[in-house]
Amino acid sequence: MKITRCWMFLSVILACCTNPLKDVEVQISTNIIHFSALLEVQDGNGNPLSDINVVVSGQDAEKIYTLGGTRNFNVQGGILTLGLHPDSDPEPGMELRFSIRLDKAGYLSQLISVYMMEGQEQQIIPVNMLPLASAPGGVAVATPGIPLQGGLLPAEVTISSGAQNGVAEETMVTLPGNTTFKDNAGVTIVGELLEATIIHVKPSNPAALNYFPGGSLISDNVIQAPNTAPVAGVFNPAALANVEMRIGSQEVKTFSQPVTIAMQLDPLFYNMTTGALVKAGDQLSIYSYETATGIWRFESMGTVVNISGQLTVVFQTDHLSWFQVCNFIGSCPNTQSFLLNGGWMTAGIKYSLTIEAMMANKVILTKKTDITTKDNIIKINRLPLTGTTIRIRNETGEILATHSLAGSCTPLTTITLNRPSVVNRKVTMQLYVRCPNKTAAVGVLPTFYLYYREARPTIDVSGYKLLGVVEKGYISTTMLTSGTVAYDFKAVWGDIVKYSHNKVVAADNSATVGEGEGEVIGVIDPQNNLEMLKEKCKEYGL
Amino acid sequence: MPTKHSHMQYRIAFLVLVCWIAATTGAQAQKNYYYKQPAKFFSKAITFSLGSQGVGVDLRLPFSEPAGVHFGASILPFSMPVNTSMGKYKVRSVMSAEMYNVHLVLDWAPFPHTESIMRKFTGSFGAAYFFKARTKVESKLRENYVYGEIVVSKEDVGTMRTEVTFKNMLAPYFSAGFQNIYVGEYTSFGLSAGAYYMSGAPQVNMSGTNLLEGNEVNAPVVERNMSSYRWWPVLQVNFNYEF
Repeated sequence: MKITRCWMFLSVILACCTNPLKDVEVQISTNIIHFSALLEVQDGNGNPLSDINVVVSGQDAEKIYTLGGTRNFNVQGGILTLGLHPDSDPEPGMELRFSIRLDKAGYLSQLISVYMMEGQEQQIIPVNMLPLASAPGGVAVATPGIPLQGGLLPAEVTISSGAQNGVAEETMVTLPGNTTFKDNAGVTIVGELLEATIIHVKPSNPAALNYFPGGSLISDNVIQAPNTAPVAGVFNPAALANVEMRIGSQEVKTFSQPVTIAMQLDPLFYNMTTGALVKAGDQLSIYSYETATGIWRFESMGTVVNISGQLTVVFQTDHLSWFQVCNFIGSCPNTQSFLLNGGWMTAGIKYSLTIEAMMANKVILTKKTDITTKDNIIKINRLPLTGTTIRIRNETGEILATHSLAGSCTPLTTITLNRPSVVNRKVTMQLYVRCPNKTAAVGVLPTFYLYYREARPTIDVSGYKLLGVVEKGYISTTMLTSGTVAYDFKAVWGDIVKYSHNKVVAADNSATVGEGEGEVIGVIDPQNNLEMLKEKCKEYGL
Repeated sequence: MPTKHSHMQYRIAFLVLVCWIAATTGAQAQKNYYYKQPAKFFSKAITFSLGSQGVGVDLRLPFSEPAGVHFGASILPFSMPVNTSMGKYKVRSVMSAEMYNVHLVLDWAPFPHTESIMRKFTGSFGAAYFFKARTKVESKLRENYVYGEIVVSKEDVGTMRTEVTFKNMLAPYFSAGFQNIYVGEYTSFGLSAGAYYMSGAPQVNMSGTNLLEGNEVNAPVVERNMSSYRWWPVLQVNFNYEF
């Protein structure tokens, strides 16, 4: 029977000379990961950071890979790519969560919570790591040293972040005499010098607030003593400070007796409890935060007092960490969706937007995304129960919409985007890839993130803005001016970050990456690019 | 897809078949020469055929002493799995064909009065109209696909579908063989080998699902490779019931 079938088959495949599959190149798409997050790691001054130690943790951490499909997490050119294993795609109503810890010498560590949910396949999360030696305006950093006697503080000392770097307010720590210092295990540390780092962040400075622990004023990991189960909520900080101490190489975690912390409040703080600017006599919450755990813990309530003309909250603590004096507002239990419309938008064009959720004039969450007229719903979890405003900017920073949410936890809100002051003509870009020694271009093209900026010297790697997600090698945008302006481009594909400099775009652009005449292989390290192209082609059997 | 190896098998099998035809028809000639001596070589008969063009049924009518005509229809529905490779990937393909035609063929026995085997020899010429001429190949990976450290099951990789369709439906036909080989008083059988010539080149469509999306770019390549795929060999045996 089998022989008969073979004969029949051979007859149907009409006898001829050329193998029908000659030159056929079967390609398996690299778009295997459906849910991705891109962390844009910067120093707060617009400079991308690299050489960062990355640790992924949390309940869904084992499902997280790089966009290259590996577990080797690296920040390249300020970009950390994260992808969800395709077997773990979230079902509707389900949310996956994990944390990314970022450590870099000379920078304050960050622990970022990342959430993935159905309908939000791609997300871009800006992360700022504070450079301790060159903090930007709005952040005061002091590193006082205090002599000890065999690990004992002989007399009371008060150390301060100091009024500096655009911050008039200070955080002061008063250590009583005869205090000894303990490590995480409660063991007394012996040494002759106590080295302290006190950082005071001015909450009304938006750039400074980017260093807020966890990267967002929203947290789902807040323990409201005496309860022990974490709840979700949103902070409205009046003062924010980080206090760290070490003796030699050992980090101080607790003290033999309580120390006093006095935090001067931002005079522009809007107290959501009273509905007015902060004043003496107001009651505010005090929370502490451990970067190691990502947990905000309620410490106590504090009364605002006027000390020498500065509104201050004074409290005692026996441990070191981040501290904030704030309002705390509970989070909505449901996902809130935002439908973005604009009569000026053209079908098929990608518009890169920054979505800012705000409360009490502070940005509590920042998301970057691109939308089209069809794919135009943004989903956000854990927005505050009241007082939320959504602000939407375009890639140039122009505000296209500011929308206060009238209802509490409304599931779907439609927001109309105003026409930007400049709408360029449509520019399309199509990238083809041709493997060495092949005649045909690769048919299955990757999806990757594309950034742009107006051309600068190549040594400067800052200032790139998201152009959009290039799907299957194609993007259509109005963010570029064709014909006159030279741009630099940065492409992020899997673990690979590549730059292309000083390109003037036409209305319709197409280029083929390859080694042939008229093809593009790059001007920065072309030999390496060619090797990479060969390697990838070999990897995919092309 | 035919390989060099399968081409060789094809040729050997064809030679064996021809030898067998010669042997069997020769034996029948020795035995039945005086018994079956019709006035006309082709009798009025219903003919059932089985071969590489599928199964068919025809009405055969005598035309003159050495000539006749048969017309009818044949269908070839089949499906078979095969293991092949595409690029560096090992694939499992299920191939299926739907080749349905109606045909009209003139038969001619040039040597009906010789005493050798050649008295059974016939040549045929005609044409078929294919109201369906399509083959489909559905291919899936045989092994899981590994992307970095992520293992994607072969089912999740998807399916690649290749469809080869002959749009020009008219196909001239010719064959040679041996007919009127005695079975019984009213029954006989015949054997023939020939070919259809598909008058138009095949059109190829490819599509992929899941991670194989985008491979339709290969369709023009396959179409170019198959542009000279016109000859459809027909090997068949036919059983005739005379009335």
